[in-house]
Amino acid sequence: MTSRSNAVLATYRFDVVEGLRYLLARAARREPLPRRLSLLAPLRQEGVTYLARGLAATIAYDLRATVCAVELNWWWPSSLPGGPQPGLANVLSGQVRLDEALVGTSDPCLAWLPAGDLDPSQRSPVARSQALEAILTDLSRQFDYLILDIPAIRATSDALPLASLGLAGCLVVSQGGASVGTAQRALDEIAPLPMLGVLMNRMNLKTPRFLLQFIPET
Amino acid sequence: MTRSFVLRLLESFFRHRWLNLLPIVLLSGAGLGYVLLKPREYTTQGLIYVPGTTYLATLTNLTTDPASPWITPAVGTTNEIKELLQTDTFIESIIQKTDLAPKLKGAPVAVKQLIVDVRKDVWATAQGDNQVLVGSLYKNPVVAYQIASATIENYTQWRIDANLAQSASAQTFFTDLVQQYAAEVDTARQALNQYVLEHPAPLTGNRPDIEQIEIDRLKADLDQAQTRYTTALGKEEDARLAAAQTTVNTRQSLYVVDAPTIPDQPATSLKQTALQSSLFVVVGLLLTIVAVVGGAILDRGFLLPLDVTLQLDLPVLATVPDATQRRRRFARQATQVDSVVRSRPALTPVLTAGSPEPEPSRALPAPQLDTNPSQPAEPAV
Repeated sequence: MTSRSNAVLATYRFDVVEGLRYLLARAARREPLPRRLSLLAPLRQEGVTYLARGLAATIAYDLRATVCAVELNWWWPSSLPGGPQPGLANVLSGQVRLDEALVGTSDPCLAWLPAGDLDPSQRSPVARSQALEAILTDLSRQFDYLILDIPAIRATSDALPLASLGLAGCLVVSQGGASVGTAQRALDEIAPLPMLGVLMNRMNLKTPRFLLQFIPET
Repeated sequence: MTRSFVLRLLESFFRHRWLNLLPIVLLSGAGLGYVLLKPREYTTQGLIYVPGTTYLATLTNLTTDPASPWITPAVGTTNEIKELLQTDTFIESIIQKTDLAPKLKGAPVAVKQLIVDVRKDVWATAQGDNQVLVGSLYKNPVVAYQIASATIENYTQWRIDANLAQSASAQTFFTDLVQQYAAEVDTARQALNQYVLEHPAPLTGNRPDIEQIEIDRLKADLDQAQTRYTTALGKEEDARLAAAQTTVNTRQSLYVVDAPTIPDQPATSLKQTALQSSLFVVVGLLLTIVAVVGGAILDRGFLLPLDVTLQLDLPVLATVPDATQRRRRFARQATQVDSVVRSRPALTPVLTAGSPEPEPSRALPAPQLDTNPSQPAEPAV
């Protein structure tokens, strides 16, 4: 994925994109894909930001719908090529306009909204503020889909109100990462949010496939 | 649940397969080294028959049985041999009769170690009531044979020596006494002869009474000395006879039924060697199983999509492979991406930020998804 100036923003392998396509297919099997989808994880380093951007790019490329990956993680914001850029935090503070904060890509259907730099004392009020919801509503008018990049649930209590900004959630767990108990507790905390399912990241099954056919089903 | 557990076991093993195989490899190597480096040892055995009593003993009332009435002759003899094997003197006497004898002239520490080694390699066990098995184990088959033979021979000799000790002391006592009594007989005889020479008998008539009394007294002394001498001589003969009886009786009480032979094959057979080396492999296998099962139990993370379904009761929408795998695989798949992307139609120019709102809700057109099912991304679990 490249920027408008052809700078490489991110690279996604084919099999990663294929996994995200499976997600789209299965999530939309019974009802349309929610227009605001929260990607969240029990713990940090599960790959939420990576998958949120990849999912947004996949939707934009495959469905030819406009998508914006909105980063709401002010605690551990991602870095973009070219250094710090104004983001959502700057929009909330009135320093920049929303269209100035959006990062365009070579794909006209896809845009990213970085988190920006938000003072720690302001994060909790902002996570529960009407202003943030208003901005997301504004974004919803501009884009078909919003993919919300939520901080880890077990890392900050503000993840709960941020996750509820989405219409549905998708839990990201990496293979061998968060424990079962941690994931269960995280799900309990965001129980009101409808969950589409789980996205298993960093999957690397070491068991040879030919052995799997010998394992009994029950 | 069974499938989940089995899959977790498999995944736990294959995730660290080389580490998990390490105990098997290491212990197999150790087993191989043990088999190759273990010196070949030869064993030989001799069987002694120990009757309860001997025919000669019944005739002479001699008792050579070391056992008490409550234990069998074999056990009594075995205990004696075991006790003797604990003495350095007995072991040294065994070594003296083997090719190891020159080593007894070495340094005291080396001699001590030699005695310890030989003591460790010789044994005696009771077989039944009257049979004693004496065996030895050594690196050299000839020495093994010599040790077993010397053990039997030295024990037999020890039994004879022990039984002869009292007879020999009695014989020595009576021998000394006989010499003393013989001297007394000679003295008495000389005294009588001297008196008779000095007082010859008168030509006519009888000796005076005083001479006759003296001669009778000297005769009585001679008879008394002669009697003591004869008695002592008989006692000495009895002691000599008892010693001879003891020797024969002891020889009769220890029959070597099967004499030790020089072994022609090592004590450890191919089968035993295979069993010993397989024991190492089995231990390595057990360690691997413990590691795999422990890893599967202690790893509380999600290893398989099935874990998510069972534990969280949520569907697994997709599995995304690890993007940080080896570079070569990445390069191969990047080529695939390139070919797929190039085969796709170009994107239509669409909206930019701030453009009019698109159609609000759009069902996901299925034909646009999974356009390349030839590369499934989800594992079949």
